[in-house]
Amino acid sequence: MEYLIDFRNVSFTYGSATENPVHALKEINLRIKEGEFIAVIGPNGSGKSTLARHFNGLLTPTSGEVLVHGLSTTNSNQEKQLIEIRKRVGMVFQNPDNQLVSSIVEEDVAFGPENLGIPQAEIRRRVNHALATLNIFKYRRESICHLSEGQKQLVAIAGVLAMKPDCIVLDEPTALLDPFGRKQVLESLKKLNRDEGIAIIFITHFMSEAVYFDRVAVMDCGEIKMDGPPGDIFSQSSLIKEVGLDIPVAAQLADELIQRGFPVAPGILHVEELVSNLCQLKSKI
Amino acid sequence: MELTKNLTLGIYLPGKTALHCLDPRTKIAGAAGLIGLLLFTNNYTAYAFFAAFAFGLILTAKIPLGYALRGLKPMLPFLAMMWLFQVFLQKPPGSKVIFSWWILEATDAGFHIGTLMSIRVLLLFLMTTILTLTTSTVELTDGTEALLRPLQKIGMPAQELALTMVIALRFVPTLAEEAEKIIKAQTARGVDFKQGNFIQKMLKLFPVLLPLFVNAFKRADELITAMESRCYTGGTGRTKMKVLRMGKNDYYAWGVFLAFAAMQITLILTIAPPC
Amino acid sequence: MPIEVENLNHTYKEGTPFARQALFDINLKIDDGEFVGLIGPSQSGKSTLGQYFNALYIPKSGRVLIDGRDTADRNTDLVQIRFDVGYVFQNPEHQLFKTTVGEDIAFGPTCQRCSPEEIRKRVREAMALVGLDYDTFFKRDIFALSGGQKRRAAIAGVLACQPKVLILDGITAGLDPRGRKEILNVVKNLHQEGKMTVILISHSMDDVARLVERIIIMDQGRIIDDGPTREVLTKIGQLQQIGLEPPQVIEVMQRLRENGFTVTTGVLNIHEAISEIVKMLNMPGRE
Repeated sequence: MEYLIDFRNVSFTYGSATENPVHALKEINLRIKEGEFIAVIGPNGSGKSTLARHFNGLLTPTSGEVLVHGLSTTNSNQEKQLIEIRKRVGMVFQNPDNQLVSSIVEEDVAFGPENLGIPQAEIRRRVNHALATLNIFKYRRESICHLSEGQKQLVAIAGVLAMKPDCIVLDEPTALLDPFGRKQVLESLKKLNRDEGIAIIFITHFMSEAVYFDRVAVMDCGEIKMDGPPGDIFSQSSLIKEVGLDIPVAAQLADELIQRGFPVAPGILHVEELVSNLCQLKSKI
Repeated sequence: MELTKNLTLGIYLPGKTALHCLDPRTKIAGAAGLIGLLLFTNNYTAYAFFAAFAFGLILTAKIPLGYALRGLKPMLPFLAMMWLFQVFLQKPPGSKVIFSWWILEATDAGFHIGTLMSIRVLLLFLMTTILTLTTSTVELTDGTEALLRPLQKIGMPAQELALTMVIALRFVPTLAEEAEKIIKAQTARGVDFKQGNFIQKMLKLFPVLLPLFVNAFKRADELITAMESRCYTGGTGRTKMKVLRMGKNDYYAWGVFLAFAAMQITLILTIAPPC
Repeated sequence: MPIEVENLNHTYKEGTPFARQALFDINLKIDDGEFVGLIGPSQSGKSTLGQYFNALYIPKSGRVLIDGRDTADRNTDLVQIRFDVGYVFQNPEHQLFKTTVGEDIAFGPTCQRCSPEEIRKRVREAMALVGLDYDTFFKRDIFALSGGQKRRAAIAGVLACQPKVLILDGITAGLDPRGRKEILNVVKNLHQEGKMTVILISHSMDDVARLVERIIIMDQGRIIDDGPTREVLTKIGQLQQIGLEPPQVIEVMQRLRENGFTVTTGVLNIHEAISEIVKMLNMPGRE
């Protein structure tokens, strides 16, 4: 079966092989299917940003291969293939201020489609659709500098969406946002995944965000240490702590209670789950 | 301490007035034409007429007068210096000494040259400010690009130039904000930017400019990565979402402009310069 | 060094078409040795208010008194106030401008015209306070530091001015959990060992709840709550309404309460929550 994205034994080394080589990625194997909703989580310096830059050929593996719909990012010295890959894999970065090109919202969103040489009327349609999908249509004529950081990040996502990608990779898009902006971005991504079937690859170091995804890959020291549904991941609390990440509060509480001999269900991630579980427990006692 | 407060050049004031709605090509070419006229204007009456026209434009665009004039404030020290230089150094033959002090002598011609030049610079700045206040940066670049496009045939990279302008203007507020923040941070560590002589003040800017440049390069690097990710490969093959179209108002505007230009030229030619 | 704010108003870009009032009639007193969290969503005015505490803004309407000195008074030495009240900005690493850690930390005391011995002594002390080893880091290139280390270096740069009050604005933004923990431990230490008044400006409840003793909540330029940490944080509805996330431990307790359990919602960490839940589970029957 063809995967949307297929990392085959990907290694990447910064610097030359002889002088201070930094092995940022070591033998990564990662397969992502169409429409997946996955978080990649790891501490700073774990290689997750390097990983992100491999998804659309911004970086190419030192060894191994990355395939996007079967197209290799390595053999893309022909510009056409690289453009094809970048059309399918959109990228959003941490600092919204450093990725927006134009000072007016809708003009910025149009930048991608304009680069692709799409006819004028179609660009207009795509831009309006992207803005409406992300609930920022009313800001279309606004100046970027008057928006909140969260709204700016939504503009960046809209800019990618207007290129009609199969997949959006977001490299720590919430790191600089306040809780409200963070929530806005997460909810928008959920919506894109559910309604438009776009695969989302969300890179973060916040556990509290990772729990919203269907699949979580944990990175450390350039390797993928764990990969699976969040429930499975967070039940291995000692491993998570070893990597230097924190565990969601609900999972921590459940873990502590289990250790004290209370029959709390394993794999609890959210506050609601914990509370309803405790209610059941109490009514049994 | 708000660095961005007195900045009017390059700021767009959204609105729906007749001036806002003109085709940017009209506005840019018009502003260029007016600035051209300004360079030939050489007497007070013509300047007064020009200033009246400029204020008419400000009123039409519904720009608060105080705000438009505030932008001129930072220029005043430079203008005053320039004026003094002209007054004391210009001594064309036949000019009369109207004031002398120590070894300095002011002539009537110097006074007129200095004054006319100051008025010219102020009006020039005001025209540019009116243009940018009523024209969004995007329109400005679209307009410039359209006006430059005929030159593409002789190798002028109009599209790339326009994009460079878009990006530069996009980052003006971002960098101004950042400079403000760095100034505050250094002030918090004991730098007093208001004290000291000129050279000391310049030296104090170093701790501001250095981090600002370092960050600007970092930003540029990230921006290039983001643009590449959004399939930017240069100007060729790009399309535009917005296509400029001249409307009825633009023809009226050209009518007004030509009528004004005719009057102004008449004033320039018929009234003798004061020196 | 108490900070008093009386009827303070602030308008951004006053007199321009972009004018926006950022602070409305703020009244506030912070006493010596307090550990305060100034919390609010972005644009709530919390940083603006903070910048009045060290005379980066001078009141045009209302008064700010630092240890009795009116910052709007012409005779007040503002530079001294800025040394007394240290301010560490968000992403402080962007403001580091010397090449080595030691030189950058020495910048403040140099501005204060301290003697070379005094400067060296202060740099050493400041580095010790933030947990950067003097011998390892003094000559280290700033660009070679990790995110968390850069932040600690920036805090040390402010500490070298020997402030009595320390304001930390968005100090954990962008750090990973390990970096956060490190920096918050430093902050805790500054308050406990350094006996400093510390004001943490943040939008993250989880950071603040564990540390501070008093919380001031701001929204849209107004103080909407001010009190002991436990008291303020248990008003979950109020926090959520302005777009802040209450600490999850408190949310758990609140939900349990809504489900008919008698538990206190005033818990600040996992341990307190666990002992409450255990107590609840061990209680006979459901009331």
